[in-house]
Amino acid sequence: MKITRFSAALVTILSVTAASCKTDLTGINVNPNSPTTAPAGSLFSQASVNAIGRYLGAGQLSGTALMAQHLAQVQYLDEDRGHIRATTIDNMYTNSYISEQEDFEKIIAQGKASSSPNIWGPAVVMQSWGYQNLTDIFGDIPYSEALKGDIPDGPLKPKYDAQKDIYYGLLASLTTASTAMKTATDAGFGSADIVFKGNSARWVKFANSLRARMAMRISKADPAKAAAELTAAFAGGLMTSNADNAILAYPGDGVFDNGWSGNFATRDDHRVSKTLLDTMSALSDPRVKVYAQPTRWDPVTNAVWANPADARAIGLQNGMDNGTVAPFFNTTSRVGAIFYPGATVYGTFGTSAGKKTPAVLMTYAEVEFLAAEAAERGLGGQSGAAAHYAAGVTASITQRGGTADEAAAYLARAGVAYVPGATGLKQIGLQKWISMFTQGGEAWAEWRRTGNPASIKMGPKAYSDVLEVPRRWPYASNEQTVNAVARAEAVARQGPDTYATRMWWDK
Amino acid sequence: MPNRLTRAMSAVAVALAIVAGQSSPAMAQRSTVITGRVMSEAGAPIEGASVTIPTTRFGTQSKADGSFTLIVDASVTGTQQVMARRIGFRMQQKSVTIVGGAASVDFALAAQASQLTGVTVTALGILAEKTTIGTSQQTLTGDELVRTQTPSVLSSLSGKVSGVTINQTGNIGGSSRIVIRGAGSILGENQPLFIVDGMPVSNAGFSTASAGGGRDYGTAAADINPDDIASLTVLKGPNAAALYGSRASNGAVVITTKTGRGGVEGTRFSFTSRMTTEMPSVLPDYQNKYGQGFVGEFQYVDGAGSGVNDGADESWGPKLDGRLIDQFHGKAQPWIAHPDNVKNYFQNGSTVSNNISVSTAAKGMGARLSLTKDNTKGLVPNSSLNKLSGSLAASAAVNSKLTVNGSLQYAQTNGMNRPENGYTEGNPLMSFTWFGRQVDIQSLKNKYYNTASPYGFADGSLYNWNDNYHRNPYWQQYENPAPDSRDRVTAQLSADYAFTPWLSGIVRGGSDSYRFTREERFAAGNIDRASASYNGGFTSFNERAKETNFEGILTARRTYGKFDFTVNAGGNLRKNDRFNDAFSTSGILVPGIYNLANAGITPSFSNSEAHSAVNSAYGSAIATFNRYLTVEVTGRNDWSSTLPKENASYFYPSVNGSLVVSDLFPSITRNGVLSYLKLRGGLAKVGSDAGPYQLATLYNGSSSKFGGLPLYTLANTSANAALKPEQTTSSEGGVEVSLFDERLTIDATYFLKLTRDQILPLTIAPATGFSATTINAGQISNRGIEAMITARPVRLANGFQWTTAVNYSRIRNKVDVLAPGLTTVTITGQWGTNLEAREGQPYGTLFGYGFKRDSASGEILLSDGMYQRASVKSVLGNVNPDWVGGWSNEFRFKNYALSFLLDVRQGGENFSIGNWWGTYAGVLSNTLKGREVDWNKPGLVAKGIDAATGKANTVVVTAEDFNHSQYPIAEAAIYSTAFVKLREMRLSYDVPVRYTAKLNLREMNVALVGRNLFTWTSFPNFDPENSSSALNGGQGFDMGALPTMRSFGLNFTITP
Repeated sequence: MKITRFSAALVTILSVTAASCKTDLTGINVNPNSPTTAPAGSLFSQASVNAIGRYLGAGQLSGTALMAQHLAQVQYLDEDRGHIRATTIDNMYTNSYISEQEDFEKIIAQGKASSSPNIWGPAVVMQSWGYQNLTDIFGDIPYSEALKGDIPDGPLKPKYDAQKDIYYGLLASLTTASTAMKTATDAGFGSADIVFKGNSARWVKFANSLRARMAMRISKADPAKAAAELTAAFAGGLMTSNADNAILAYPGDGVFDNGWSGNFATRDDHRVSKTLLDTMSALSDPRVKVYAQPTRWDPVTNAVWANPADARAIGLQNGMDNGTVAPFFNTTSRVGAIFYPGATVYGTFGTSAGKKTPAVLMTYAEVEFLAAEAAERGLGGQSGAAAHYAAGVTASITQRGGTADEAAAYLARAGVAYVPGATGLKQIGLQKWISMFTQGGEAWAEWRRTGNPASIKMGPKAYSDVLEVPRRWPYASNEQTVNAVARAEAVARQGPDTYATRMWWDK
Repeated sequence: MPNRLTRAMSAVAVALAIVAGQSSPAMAQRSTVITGRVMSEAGAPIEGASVTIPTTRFGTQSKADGSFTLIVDASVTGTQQVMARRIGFRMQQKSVTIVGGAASVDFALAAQASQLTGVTVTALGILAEKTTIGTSQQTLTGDELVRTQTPSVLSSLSGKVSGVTINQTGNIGGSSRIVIRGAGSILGENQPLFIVDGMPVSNAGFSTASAGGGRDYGTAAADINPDDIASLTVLKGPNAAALYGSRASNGAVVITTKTGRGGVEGTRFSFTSRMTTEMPSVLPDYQNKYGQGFVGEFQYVDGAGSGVNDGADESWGPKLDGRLIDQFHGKAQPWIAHPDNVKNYFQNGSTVSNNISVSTAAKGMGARLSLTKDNTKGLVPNSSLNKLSGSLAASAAVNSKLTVNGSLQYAQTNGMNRPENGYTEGNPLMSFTWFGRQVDIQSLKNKYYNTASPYGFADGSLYNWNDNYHRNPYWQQYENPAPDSRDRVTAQLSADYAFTPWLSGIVRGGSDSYRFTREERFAAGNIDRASASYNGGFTSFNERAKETNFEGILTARRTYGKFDFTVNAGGNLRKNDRFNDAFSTSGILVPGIYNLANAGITPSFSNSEAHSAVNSAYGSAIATFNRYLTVEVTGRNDWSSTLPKENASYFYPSVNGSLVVSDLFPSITRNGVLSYLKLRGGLAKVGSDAGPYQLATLYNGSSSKFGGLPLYTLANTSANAALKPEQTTSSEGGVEVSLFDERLTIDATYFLKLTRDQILPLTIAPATGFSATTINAGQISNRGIEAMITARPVRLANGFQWTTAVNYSRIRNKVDVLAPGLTTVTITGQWGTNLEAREGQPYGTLFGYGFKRDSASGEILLSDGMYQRASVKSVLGNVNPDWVGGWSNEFRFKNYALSFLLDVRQGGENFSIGNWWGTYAGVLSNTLKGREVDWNKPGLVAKGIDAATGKANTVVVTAEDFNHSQYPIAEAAIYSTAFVKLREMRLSYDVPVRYTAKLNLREMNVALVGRNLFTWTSFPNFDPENSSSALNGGQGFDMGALPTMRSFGLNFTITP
């Protein structure tokens, strides 16, 4: 009896086991941690933080700000001697598409599906800002076929578009976005818009200002298109005061800190460039005290300043090597203490406010400099170059905490006071370059376009293959593996994949 | 044709006649008929023993009752030696006088343990006679595992099992890695399945260590207490393990714990105590001629560049001639060598392990309780590991049909301050790769903080030899606590029921669960971990995992004439659940309070869970003919939750066979040379599923809020909704030979294992918006031979005996193909050198920059007398050994036993970052070349071609410049990891009964044990086994990892 019962139990257990084998288990495979859709606002916040951190944070410190000679390296000197590290290139090129451009693409799709221009519009503007940064670093890049890796049969080896086509595409996208946002009524992102807090009027201004920047950038390569776009952009309405500046204010909570400040909290690899400080000091620029700290040591005695009041800002020559740079460690200026969280030793700006220092995407000052150049060159229906120039300089000084009086005094100085004509164009370039401290990428691009300031020269210990200041960065090495054919086409079109090759708008 | 057939048939007939061992009746006129029985010493009849007269061709085999009839031709006369042999028994010879007619002789054979015979565990815990197994496996007894004190049961396998590669680290409780027959899966861990008492248990790796940082928290197999193991069987590869399903593609390690049942009736206590002391087995050879600095100059001011080269963390400074130089411990200190400043940082480790067990056995039942406490003090100051494990096992035959078994294992492991690994400030050993050779380490031990230094640092900053790059190594270990803890419970219950004498069923259920928690706390000043403006920070990580299995198997065994059949059919339900959570902050307010409530910086959190399930149905059929020919077929179907519905069900079969040739043709054993010959072979296919949640592209949130705003981002890998299972096919053939009355046995196997359709992230153009997409592609092949040779060369009448065993494995691994457009998959990378699965190369290829060479001659090209880096990366080596082997020896004489084990690894390369930086930094003795006279004298002329002149280099450079020039060139530090280690040594003494009896003890054994006593290697300065962790990504690089420990100790076992 007992045996039978046990056998029955065993057989039952076995048959239940067998029967449950074929049960569909796929329900278990639904990921409980991550959704298949996400709110557009949260995507926008994250993608914007990523993009801004890339071009204005790490990417500058190990690349563009050195090429713009805003900064110089005092140790780990590869970049300053002309070689960008593979990881830096990857962080720029590879991560740009993966970390933010794809997300902006998804937001645009969501916004278009719900007919919300205040969702897709800002995403288009941010994506365009990112693309312009990227193409200005590399030249031809994937654009029209990009960001389709999860679409069935989407191109896994997207072609590289000619830079001209990319610029045309970006200008068109910005036009569409600014036009749509101008009349849009949807709620948009609200506070999730970490640049303009959901203010679509300011997005429209930013979009048009970016159009003007792009149009001016191509004015040498494609004057007709540049002229038409400048006219349209100015007509559309640009930034009109520092309140319109496209900036990202960081919470400074130790997690999301200003990119420079985050680096300077643990690293001490940078000094302010001699090229920049010599220029500014010669003009008694009121922004010196913001940009640079006084040096620790007196370079003459090679010891702590005997009289602390004598301490002053001194720049470091770019492009030195280990042997030649060593004596300058304590005798050249660290970046202004505003970027040093909590530092009290090196200057008067040392508060945790440094971590909150905003990243600057584009300023009203730049818009005025664009207007000044347009006026001087008779483009875009602009006039009054001197007034625009003065407005630009004033806006930059006040943006950096200076006063209108300081600006006026500065503008009165010889060398600063505007001289129309070819000199004026140089002055515009110089002041724009000074104003763009912390926007190394844009400053480097403008130097390439205008040659201003002419004092930017490759340093004395440059690597032998980079004896001139780079005109672009080489492509990410992995492209030779994952997208070789497309990359080869781009190289054939654009020129050798070297630092020296000039891109379309720089020819 | 007919002729040939006839001839073949007559040959078969002759063969059969020989098999039958009977001469033809025509020749039997005046023959002798010898009858008798072959029995074991215990009195059991022995079937199948061969009974022969070796000098003649006459022989027969014993029947089931042990009886035999040997008919000898009349031509054989006089006194003859009749020999009875059976595998598993000692051969016996007896003299018989043959005079025609009848004669009689009986044999009583003594049992003899043999590698080739006996009952062993096969897949699913099924017991089988070794002679009938068609696949390769190897069993070790519990005693063999605890000969010396080892950090993990896996470490104790090193050098003992063929076909197996063991990697281990020197950390206390560090990880051990076992790979059977080579790595097959590109991104999998390639670890075998672990089975304890029929239930799968985890060997999850907890290590966060790589050559770039992290800590090695070991692997879960370390929770298995070696003292509780009765036997451990390695099922080598898919052929042996096919029935275990998805996870068997890497083989299986099947462990049976002691239950107490079946021993001598009554209650027995046993107490084992092991005490060992540990020290580093290998330490670098440092130079002691030049101290800290550059270009022969140094003066300390703040250790950060303010003095003369005082930011230098290298030893290219002034000659250590006693001159007075300002140093971190005072002005104008004598500049002298401290040759032992690194050695003195280490302390002697110690391990005290005590095990007490009580087992009770009665008729049909048994129970065993065991408790073990291990206390380990690490080599690095203030590091320790304490482990408590308990095991309770019971087995009872309820009646003649029903047997129930249950076992419960608990292990608690608490680690404290396991040192960080790799190239990170948290690794105290990292500073020794740089370092000032004049540094007085004692003064760093005496204080950690500057209080009133002569240089005005009253700010509590670190008291250290360098403030730019390194930490005080004592401060690191004493002021940055890192506790970890793991609780593990494994439980299983089974009931075995015999329906009829030939049909039985077993149901088994069990779970393996653990909870692992680790925390890392950073003091203020730990600036790459905690924010500079705060008083430190911390991270905390918790993991819970559980696997449950429920299984039922029906087994039928029947015999029909000479055929034995065994058929198994069963099913298994498996579920895996895993939960992780972690939180961290890089800034706390009040020092020393490592609590989130004390966070000054918004903490970041993460939590996740993962679930998967596999249902399986399986069966096997085994047919044995006449005990010498066995064929087994198996089949298993898995249904996995992790694959898309259409691919979720997958079937894999296996077939294997074995033939005991010496039983088929007993005549071949007649001359006494060959006593056993078995051939075996098999084919198997095993599928392996994906990890959970790989089928859909998802959005990932972030616990960090941007000023309160939530964040989301799309995953970087584009998912593949059509994944298929990975496939491994394996074929093997083997031979088992026993010679000279089992004095020499050989067990050798050739195998070929192919792993296809690997689930891989295919790196795609990032402009697609994704870094990778998941695909099924690629094939890795492993082919090789493994052999185990055991010999008993000496056995003297006085009891002296020498047993020796050699095992050897040679595996050729190759990544045959990846995917179109994919030439390599990077497993991990350090300093621009990657560990890769590169098409056409072995798995685990080191790919990085070599020296710039002259394209024609291949000689190194120098520029200004210094090395140049090649313009493109190339293959620099691979981590796979050419072969591995072990040679064990045991000498027994009376109550003494002496054993030692040599563990050999030949070939395989490592990128030694320790040598790379140690040479760059001028701390290693090889950097003295060129500065024998002074820091810049006489200089050196490197061998190679001058790039400018095209002629042999003549440029003299300083040692400093020359050694710095090798920095970007990984090839400069690629070394062979070949070694021979005296892995184990043990001298033991069984206290004679006449003494133990007085103490009222049954047994008492004392042993001196040693482990990793000597290392012979060409690998410079570091331990060739040195790797940051034994996990997949820990291979191929050494950087600041602890050497394996050399240990000496005493084992003491008493059984009251």
